[in-house]
Amino acid sequence: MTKGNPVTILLVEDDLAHAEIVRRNLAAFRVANRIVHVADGQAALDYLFHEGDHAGAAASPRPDLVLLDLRLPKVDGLEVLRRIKADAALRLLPVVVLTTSAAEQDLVQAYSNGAGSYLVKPVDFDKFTKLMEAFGFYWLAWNRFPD
Amino acid sequence: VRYAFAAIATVAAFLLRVGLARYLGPPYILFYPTVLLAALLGGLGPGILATALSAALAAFWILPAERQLPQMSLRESVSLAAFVVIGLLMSTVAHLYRQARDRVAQNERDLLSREALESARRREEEALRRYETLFDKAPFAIALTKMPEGTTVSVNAAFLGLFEYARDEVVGKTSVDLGISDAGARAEVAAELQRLGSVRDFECTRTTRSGAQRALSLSADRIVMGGQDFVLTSVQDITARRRAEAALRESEARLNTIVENISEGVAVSGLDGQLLHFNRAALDLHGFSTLEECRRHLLQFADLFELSDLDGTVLAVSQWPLSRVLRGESLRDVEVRVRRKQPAWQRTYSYGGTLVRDADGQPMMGVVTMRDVTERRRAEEELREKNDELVRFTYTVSHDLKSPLVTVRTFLGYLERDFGKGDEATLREDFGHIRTAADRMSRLLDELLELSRVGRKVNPTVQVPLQLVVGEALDLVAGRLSQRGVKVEVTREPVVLEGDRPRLVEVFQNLLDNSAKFMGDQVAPRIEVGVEMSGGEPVLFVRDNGIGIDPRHQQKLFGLFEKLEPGSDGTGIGLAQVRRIVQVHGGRIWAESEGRGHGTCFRFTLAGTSWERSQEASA
Repeated sequence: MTKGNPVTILLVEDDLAHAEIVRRNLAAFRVANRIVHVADGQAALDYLFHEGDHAGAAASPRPDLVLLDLRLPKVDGLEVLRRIKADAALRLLPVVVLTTSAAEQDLVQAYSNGAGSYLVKPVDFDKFTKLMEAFGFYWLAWNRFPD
Repeated sequence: VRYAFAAIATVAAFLLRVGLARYLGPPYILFYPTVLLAALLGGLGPGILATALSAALAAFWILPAERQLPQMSLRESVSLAAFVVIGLLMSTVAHLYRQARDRVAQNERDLLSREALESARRREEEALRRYETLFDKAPFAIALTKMPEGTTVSVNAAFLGLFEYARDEVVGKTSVDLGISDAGARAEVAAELQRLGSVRDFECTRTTRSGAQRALSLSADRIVMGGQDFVLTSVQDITARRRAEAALRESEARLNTIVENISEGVAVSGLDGQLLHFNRAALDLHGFSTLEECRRHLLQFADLFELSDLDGTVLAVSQWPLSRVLRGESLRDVEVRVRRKQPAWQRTYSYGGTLVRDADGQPMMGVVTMRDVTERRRAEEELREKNDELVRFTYTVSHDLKSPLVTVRTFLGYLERDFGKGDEATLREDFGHIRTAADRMSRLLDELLELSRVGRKVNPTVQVPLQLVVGEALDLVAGRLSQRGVKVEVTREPVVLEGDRPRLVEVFQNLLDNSAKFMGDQVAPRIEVGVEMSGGEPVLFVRDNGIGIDPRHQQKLFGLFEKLEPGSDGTGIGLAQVRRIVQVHGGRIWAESEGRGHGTCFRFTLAGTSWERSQEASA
C-alpha cells in the first residue's frame, strides 16, 4: 500500500482448496483480483515465459511476487524456481515458497536456488490465518519490490 | 762276403807283391796288412783264410821265383811258419777286438732301448690314469659290461652313487643279478643295440639297491677291445627333471581346471588382437558353443557384437576392453553393455584385464576377464528405484497426506467462524472442500496399501491368453469407457502371458483407465491393445488417441505420487503400480508420445510371454 501500484501475485498451487485458502486470506489486502492462479509447474513457466497457453506478453503481465508450492504436477516447484533465477529478466522476481513440506532438504534446496522466504502451511486454521495475515502485511504492505 | 773279401784282398796283395817284387824286400810285407784288414773287417774266419791263402801263395809263387831253387830253405820255412803263426795271432786278436767292440755296442743299444720302453710305459700309465680319472669322475654314471654275458667289468663313481652300490659288489655281476633292471627291460635295450649298434637317450626306469625307482636316460655303444665284445653304457638321472615336468604338468592341469570352471569368463588373445582361447564361461557369455567360433580377430568380433558404455554410447573396437589391454592398460571393473546382433540379446558385463609378460617383462599376450553383471545392475537399478520410492513415500507422508489435512482443518475453521452468518453457498463450498480432501486422503491410503502389496507376487504363476486378461480389465473399467464413448480394439494374435493373473489384469486395467481418463476433447476416442516384435521379444502395447504426453514430462510418468494433470482425480499411484507389477514379472515399461494432442502409447514386456506369431503379423 506504500507502493503506488497494487501488487500482483502469481500463485502456483495444484491443490484447489489451498488456493482458495490463500485467496480468502489475502482478500483483506485487496489483491484478490490481482492473484493469478496456475495449477502446475509447466503452467507457471508458460505464464512467466509467455509460452504455451500464455503466449503473448499482454496476456500474462509480469507478477511482483511468486507464491510457489513445491510438489507440483509436470514440473516441480524447485525446477520452476531454478528457471526463474536462471533467467536474466526474471531473476530479481521474489519467490516465496508455500508448501506443506517441512523437509529439511526442501528448505535447503529452496534457499540454495534463490527462494526469498520459505513458509510451511500449518495444519491449523488459526495458525494458517495468522501466517497469511503476517505474510500479507510483510510482503504486500511493507516490502519494496524492484521495478 | 767276408770270406770273398779276404780272398780278393789276399790275391790283390799277392799281385801287388809280384808286380813290385824288384822294389820290395821281404815276401810277406803286403800280406800282413791284408790279414789284419781281413780279420778286423771279417773276423776270425776271414783272417785265417787270408793267412792260409797268403802262406800258400808265398810258398808256391813268390819264394821259388826269387831263389830259383826247387826246395825251400830252412830260413824260408821258418819265416813261412812265423808268418802263419803271426797271421793266426793277428786274426785271433782282431777277432777278440771285434767281439769286444760288438759287445760294447750291444750294451749301449740295450741301455737305450730300456729307457725308451720305461718312458713309454710311464706315458701309458699316465694316460691310463687320466682316462680312469675321467671315467671315474664323469658326472653321469658309466658302466662297461662284457658281452654277451652282460657282466660288469667296470663302473664309475657316479654309477655307484646312483645305484647305491660299492664297486666290488658290482664287478662281475649283471644288472639283472643286481636287480637294477629286470630281464625284459635289459632285453629291450639289448635288442635295440643289436639292431642299431648303439642306443641314444633311451628313457626308462631302473631300481637302485634300496629299491628306489629312478627315471633314467640311457645311451649305450658296442665296442670291441682285444677281440672281446663290450658295451659301454652311460646313464643320466632324469628323475628330478621328470618330477619337475610332472609337477609342471600337474600345476598346468590344475590351473586349466580352475580356469575352465570358474564362472568368470577368461579370453586370451595374441598381441595382434587374434583371439586364442575362451574358457567355458567366456564361450557361454558370448553365446558360442565351440572354441573355433572365438578364434577370430578382434575386428571380426564387431561383425557379431556391439559394445557400448552404460550411457549407451557405442564403443569403437579400439575402445573395447581387449584393445585397451593390448595397448598396455590394466582394467578392473569396467562395465560395458554387450549386444550380440544375431541371435540378438544384450547383457552388461564387467571387464578386467591385463597384458601377460614373460620373465624379461616383454608382453606375450592379453588376458581379459568378464562377468555378467546384468542381474546385479538390474537389482541395483531396482534398489535405486525402490529407494527413490521410499524417499518419495516419506515425502508424501509429510506432504500429500498433510495437504488434505490442512484443507480439512482450515475449512473447519472457516465453518466454525462463518456458521452463524447464514451464507449457505459459502458453507456448502467449504463442506465440499472438506469432503474432497477427506476422499482424497482415503483413496491415497487405500492405494498406498495396494501398492505395498504388488511388490510381491501373491498368486501362483499361470499362463493365460492376452485376450482373457484384457477382457477382464475391460470389464473393470467399462464404466469410464462407456461414459467417454471409447472404442477399444484388442489384437487377435495368439499371445500367451505368464504370471500372477490378477496383477496382469491390474496392469491393463490401469493403462486402459489412464487412457480413457486422458482422452481430452477427442471426438472419436479409441484405444488399441496389441503386440509387436522388437529386439527379439514380443512387446505389448496400449495405444490411445488422447491428449498425449509432453516429451519433457515422460520420465516423471511412472514415479510414485507423480501426477501430470493437476485437475485429475488420480493420486499418482496407478502407473507406479503398473511399473512395479511389470518389473516383478521381469519386464520393462515405457511410454511413447509425440507430445500433447498426439495420443500416448504405453509399451511393455513381460518375461515368459509367448507369441505363436503368424507371418502377416511379423511382416
